[in-house]
Amino acid sequence: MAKEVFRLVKLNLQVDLGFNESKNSLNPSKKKYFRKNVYVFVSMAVILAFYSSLTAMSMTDPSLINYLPLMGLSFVSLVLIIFGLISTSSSIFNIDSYERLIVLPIRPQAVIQSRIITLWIEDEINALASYLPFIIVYGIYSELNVSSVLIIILSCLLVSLFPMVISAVLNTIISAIFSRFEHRNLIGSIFYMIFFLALMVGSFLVSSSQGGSNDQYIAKMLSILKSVNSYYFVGTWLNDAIVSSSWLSFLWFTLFSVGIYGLFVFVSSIIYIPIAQSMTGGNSSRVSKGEKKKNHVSKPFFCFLKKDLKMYFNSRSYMVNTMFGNVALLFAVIVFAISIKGDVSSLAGFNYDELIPFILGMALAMSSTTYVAISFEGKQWWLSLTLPVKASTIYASKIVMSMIVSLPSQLIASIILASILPHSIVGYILLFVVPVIYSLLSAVVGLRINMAFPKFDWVNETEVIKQSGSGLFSMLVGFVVAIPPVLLGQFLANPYNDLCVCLYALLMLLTAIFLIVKINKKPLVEISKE
Amino acid sequence: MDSYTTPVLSISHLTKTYKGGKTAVKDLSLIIQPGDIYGFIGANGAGKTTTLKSVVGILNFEAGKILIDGLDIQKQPLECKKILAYIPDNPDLFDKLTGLQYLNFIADVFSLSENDRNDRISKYAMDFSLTEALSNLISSYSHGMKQKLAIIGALIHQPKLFVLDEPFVGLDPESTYRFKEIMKEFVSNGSAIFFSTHVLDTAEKLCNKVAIIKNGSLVASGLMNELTNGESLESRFLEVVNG
Repeated sequence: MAKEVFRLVKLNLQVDLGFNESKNSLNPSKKKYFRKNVYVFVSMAVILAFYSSLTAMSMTDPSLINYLPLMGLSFVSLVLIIFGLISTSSSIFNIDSYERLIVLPIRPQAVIQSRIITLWIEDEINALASYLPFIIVYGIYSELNVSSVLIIILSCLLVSLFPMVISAVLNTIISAIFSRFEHRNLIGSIFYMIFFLALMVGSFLVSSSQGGSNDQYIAKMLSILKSVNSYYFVGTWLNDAIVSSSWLSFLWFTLFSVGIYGLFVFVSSIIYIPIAQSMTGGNSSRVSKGEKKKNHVSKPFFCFLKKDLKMYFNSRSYMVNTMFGNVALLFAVIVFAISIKGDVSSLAGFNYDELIPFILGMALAMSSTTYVAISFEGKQWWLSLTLPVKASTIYASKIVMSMIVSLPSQLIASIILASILPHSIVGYILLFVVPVIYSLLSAVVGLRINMAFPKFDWVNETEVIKQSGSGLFSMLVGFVVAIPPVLLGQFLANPYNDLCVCLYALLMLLTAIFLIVKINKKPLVEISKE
Repeated sequence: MDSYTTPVLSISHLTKTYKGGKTAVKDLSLIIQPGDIYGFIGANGAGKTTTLKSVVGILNFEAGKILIDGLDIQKQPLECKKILAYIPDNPDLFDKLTGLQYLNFIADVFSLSENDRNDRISKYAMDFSLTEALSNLISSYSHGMKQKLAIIGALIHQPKLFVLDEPFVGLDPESTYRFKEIMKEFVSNGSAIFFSTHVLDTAEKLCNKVAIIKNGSLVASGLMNELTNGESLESRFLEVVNG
């Protein structure tokens, strides 16, 4: 069976990582796409390492230092669970390849084991990026003996096992629960929005509780870490193993991590075939109850828009990943409204009239759906290519869809901000107009980027939505666009500032229009990678 | 008739080279007249799908000209697409739409009136025994059902030129028969059909003209009875391809 598992792991990695396709494809765009994904992946690991380094560096007080390994494992657990939930589909019980594999003389246990090992390899990179900074900081501020160093090296291989199993179990349970609902995508998306909102509220509460003096911060952290230490026993074992060089604690940590992993493989192997069969044969559960809808006539633009919106709202992954900016925006505005409690004196000297519209716009840049709108057509792209519809109609439907998705939250945010903050006339206009221009510009930029880097031959939609470098690039453009007005706010005083910001907004609008004109000249057939 | 009417499809000196440098189609020319059912046969990788995709505007090509009812596919793609319908060898449709939503989408694109679309969707859905399944998501369809849906989508706007890539794969015998009847009915009204197939027996019985492609080049084409000259299409094909 080990050979079967090894072969399947190799296959999974070849498919998942895209290296094989890049190496063997004659098409240069595949290589370019692979390189782009590598950059995104590396950037993510660097961001994680940076964030955990900062957190670890804030815990160098002698009373906290001995909790760093525990904090490291807790951070790894949080990261892997969040990443697992963001993926919004269970890669372990993935049914896409079920029929392809099940007809081969391969044991289901081998299929499951190979998927879990593949997931472990993929998770291990993020786990190490999160875990190692804590351990390095711990190593610098304490005296490590040989046993501790050996335990640390071995723990690097095991640190992601338990969080990975928890994440996979949660993901499977959630998928199983949602599959029972008719509107599973909508319900699923609402769940994920609430999850992310709760995460943000939690993070906000923790950071706000850390206010005050350094001593207060240390006391608060110590109390949190002691609570974690008393409940998160896997972390307690690992912490004790490293801090006290206890091989017995490490043995418990290893036995528990490997034991949970083994149990998960065993149970998954048993339930894999029934689950896969119910999911493949269970398509009948998707059958709607005798839908007898009227056939309405629509203009080509509206029929493409309707189609795009249906595809969007039927894809939980697409919705969750692109609505994050909207949720973040609303959350931030509500927290802001609550925290200033009508007292705007704390904002004295802050040019919020000019800056807030751009901050709203930056959040909207995260919500653009167009960065993946062309790629999302996938293998159905042939249809758009063969239908008698102008390329500009198809592009327009995608831009408008992006604005439909992002503008409602912007409108609510603007109304809240307009009601709690006094503005000048120009300020009120900017508050409502700039985000609309920003939303248009983000949509157009996202579309242009996706036209340059389309990917149609995906199997799982998460592959194209989550792992798209276009999204990151679009977001980056959104942030860069906001820099000039922020700088203007620092160096110019009113009324010059108002004038400059208005001119800048006009420039953004003209840029968007210019890009639309340029995009409309590009025939659909030139987007296809031949 | 051939010399006085505008060909429904005219391909002249088509050459298509992929980015990797592989020339998939070399200097291919053929003409399809109204009323033709034109079979396009060749081994795997011979260039059939590339030719068909170039005809319908999915692929750009570097040399040659393709005219559909006198219109240039590269210069007037929209006008061309209004009068053609294409079914790929593996119809990937919008999985997240229901069959009916998909057909309405196609009907909207071709600006069909409510009455026309109602009549045609009902008629063809009944012909292909797909009426009940139309309210289900396409993701729940079998390959054959997707193929039927793609065919209905191609038929509802009554195109002048059908371009079909392996259209019978996955169809049940009854639907295959029904589709052949519909094909004959369409060409009798002045449309034309250009389709690739590996089922030579079907091609021989259904087509009045046939073209054989080998390594991207057309090696034989013309009227079926003249090309086969009393032999079976299979033996003629093997002779031409292996010769």
